[in-house]
Amino acid sequence: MNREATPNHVTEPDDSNSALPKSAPDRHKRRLILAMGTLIGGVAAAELLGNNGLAVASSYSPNIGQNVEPGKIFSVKLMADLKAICQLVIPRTETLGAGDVDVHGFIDNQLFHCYEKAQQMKVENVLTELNKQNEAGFVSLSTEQQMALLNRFDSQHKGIKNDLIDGFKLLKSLIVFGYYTSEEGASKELKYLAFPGPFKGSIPYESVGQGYGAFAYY
Amino acid sequence: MQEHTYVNETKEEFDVLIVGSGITGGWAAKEFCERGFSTLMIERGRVVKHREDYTGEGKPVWDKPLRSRVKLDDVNENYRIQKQCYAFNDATKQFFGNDKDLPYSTEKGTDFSWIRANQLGGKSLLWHRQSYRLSDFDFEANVKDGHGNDWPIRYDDLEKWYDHVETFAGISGSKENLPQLPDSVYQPPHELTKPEQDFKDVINTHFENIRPIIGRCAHLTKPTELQISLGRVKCMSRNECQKGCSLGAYFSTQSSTLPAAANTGNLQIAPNSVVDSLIYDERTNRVKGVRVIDNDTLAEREYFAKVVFMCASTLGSTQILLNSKSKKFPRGIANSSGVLGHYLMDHNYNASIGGTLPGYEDEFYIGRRPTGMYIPNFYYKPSLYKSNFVRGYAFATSAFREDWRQMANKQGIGVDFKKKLKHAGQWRIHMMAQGEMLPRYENQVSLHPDKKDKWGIPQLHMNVQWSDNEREMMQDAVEVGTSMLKKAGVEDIYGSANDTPPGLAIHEVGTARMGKDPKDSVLNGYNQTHDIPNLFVTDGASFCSTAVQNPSLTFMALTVRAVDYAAKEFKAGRL
Repeated sequence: MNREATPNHVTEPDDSNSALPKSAPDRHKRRLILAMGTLIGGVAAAELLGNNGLAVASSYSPNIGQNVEPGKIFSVKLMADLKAICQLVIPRTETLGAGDVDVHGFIDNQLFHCYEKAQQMKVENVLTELNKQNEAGFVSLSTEQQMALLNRFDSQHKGIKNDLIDGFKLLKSLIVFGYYTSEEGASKELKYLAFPGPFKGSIPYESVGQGYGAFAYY
Repeated sequence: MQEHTYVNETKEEFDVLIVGSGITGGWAAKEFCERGFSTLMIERGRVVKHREDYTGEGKPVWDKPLRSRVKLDDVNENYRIQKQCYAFNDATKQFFGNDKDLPYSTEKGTDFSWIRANQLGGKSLLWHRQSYRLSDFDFEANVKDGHGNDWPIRYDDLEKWYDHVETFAGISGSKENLPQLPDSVYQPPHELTKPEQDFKDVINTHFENIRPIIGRCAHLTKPTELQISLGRVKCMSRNECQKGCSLGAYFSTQSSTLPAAANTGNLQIAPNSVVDSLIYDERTNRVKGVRVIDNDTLAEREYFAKVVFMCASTLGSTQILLNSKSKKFPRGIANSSGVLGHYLMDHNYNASIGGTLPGYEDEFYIGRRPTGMYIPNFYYKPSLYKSNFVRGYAFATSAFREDWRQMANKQGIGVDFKKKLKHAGQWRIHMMAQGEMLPRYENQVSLHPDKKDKWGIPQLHMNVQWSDNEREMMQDAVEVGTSMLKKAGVEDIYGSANDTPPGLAIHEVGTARMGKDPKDSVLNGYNQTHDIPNLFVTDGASFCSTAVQNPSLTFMALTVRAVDYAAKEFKAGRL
């Protein structure tokens, strides 16, 4: 059997989400839609914001849809936060980010099916803690503020309770696991070899140029 | 395979019944069938068809909503023991037993993890495929240091049978001329990575007797015509073997022995047939057949034959023998010695050492090598023993580049973090000890006096513990392993030994041991019970010591040798 052809990845991602607002004001609008969406539903929020808002909202309604639906564990509000956190930890580059590929939905589902209540609570406590930093929730903070908050957790800032630090570690590990086992993460961001062919022990790193996305055990 | 290969009710008296279809049972079936014996292979579980029933194979991880994890409810309800096996996940769990249906008890203060694989092919679908010969240092260890009984065989007795099974199974490896680890008949070895090659050179230079080699494994790297004719092709380094391999690239009953046996037209298989006990004829002092409970319907039936081979796994065979009671054998059939169930052993994997290897940023590899490096036992004879314990251990080791699984915990979020995880990280090296466990009378499995399983068969009760010898050995492995890594320039070295209970090496052996003396052993040097001429046990139950090596290759060699002997005895009218 021949080795399966495995083209080099890092092609441009599918651009169906390209209407995601990129400029600062648009990002602000998006955040507003998200925040309001958690309260009154995505489409209603977009309508309230006028035609432009509606166009933007509709064009990425699948993601909005994921946001406005409550998770199996997390409220719609926390799901919106979680999506933002996913996208901040693993953002969109040449490939989609973790929030783009529904890692937030994966995390809610994974915690629900594969983790004890106590572990679910640990993550929920982190989300609640991040959410209460601002009256309108985590999603309404500026990107800089969001990053600063997450970095405080990530660097295990002394002022944060151990339990929340542990919860953040679990959350981050789930984001990483969810993203790099998604099709985008495993086969576009990384090199996915279903049939690598006979093992070669020494090749130049540059001939692959990226890490592998397929493993025997996850 | 033809459907008519499978039987349920039958009045036929077969030449041979083989209880079990794993590595040992598959080999027994192939060898008997090829010698023209009508053979019935009895399997307690369902049929697993090669390729067709490898339901977890070839699916990318993202197609699984839980990304290969198993639901917690499912684990808690059905797989509390099985989940401890490294290979247990959503793509392989169909090949593990359901703990709820397979209860056993443990003596207070002890624990034992019994990993089950009750389907056609048994653990041959799940094994780790490492394949090593035992040497005379192993066969002589018991008699030389006084632990356990003397093996009734030596390397000479097994050598040609090792050749035989290796040629057919396909073992990749390298010729090394090591006294403690005889060479096999090889297909080409897997390659080492550059850091592994350098590590090997450093160890060879600085450590007397410590000789790292590439792991020997039952994977095809250069298939023979016979292997190709059976539908087997070269290993593609997926290393997803426990999902089942449609390439037939690793040795399993399904890929190898079963098609060979079926090709003869002499094989029939009775699946879903849980053997309750053996049927004994006191008048002739022969086993006539087996009593079976249907796995699904719980209906009873019997199968008959002139010879019975027990290949149901160490503990499976032992349970059946213990449960086969008669006036002559009130403690279990072929147990006049009283040692049946005693001397249970496993390997001890409780020490691990590792660290990071600086440099080699330009080095990479392609593929998921289905084996690692192997460092054979360097305390292989009494003159090399350490002062605080006897026997020794091997190391399984490999060097690899970090990926997101190891880097997930590193600090960072955002674009830079994503960039870091996009690339292979630094090199790591990891070593795990594989220690020999001494044969000890106290380490025993017995039938529970009251508890039964759903087939009405008495449950096994385990009473097995590590001794200080195994614990001292693991401490030594941490120290020696650490000094090796230091010498090789490894940084951030970690190392520790824990006290995980026996079972998880899944190398249980020894509960119906061989021996020269019928008073302290169950089997003779041909795996034939001392008590009953037409009853053989050729799985791991027959071992007198664990040695350090992974045992499956020796199960194969013992089995084909026993078949050869039984076939000759049968034709001579002595069975």
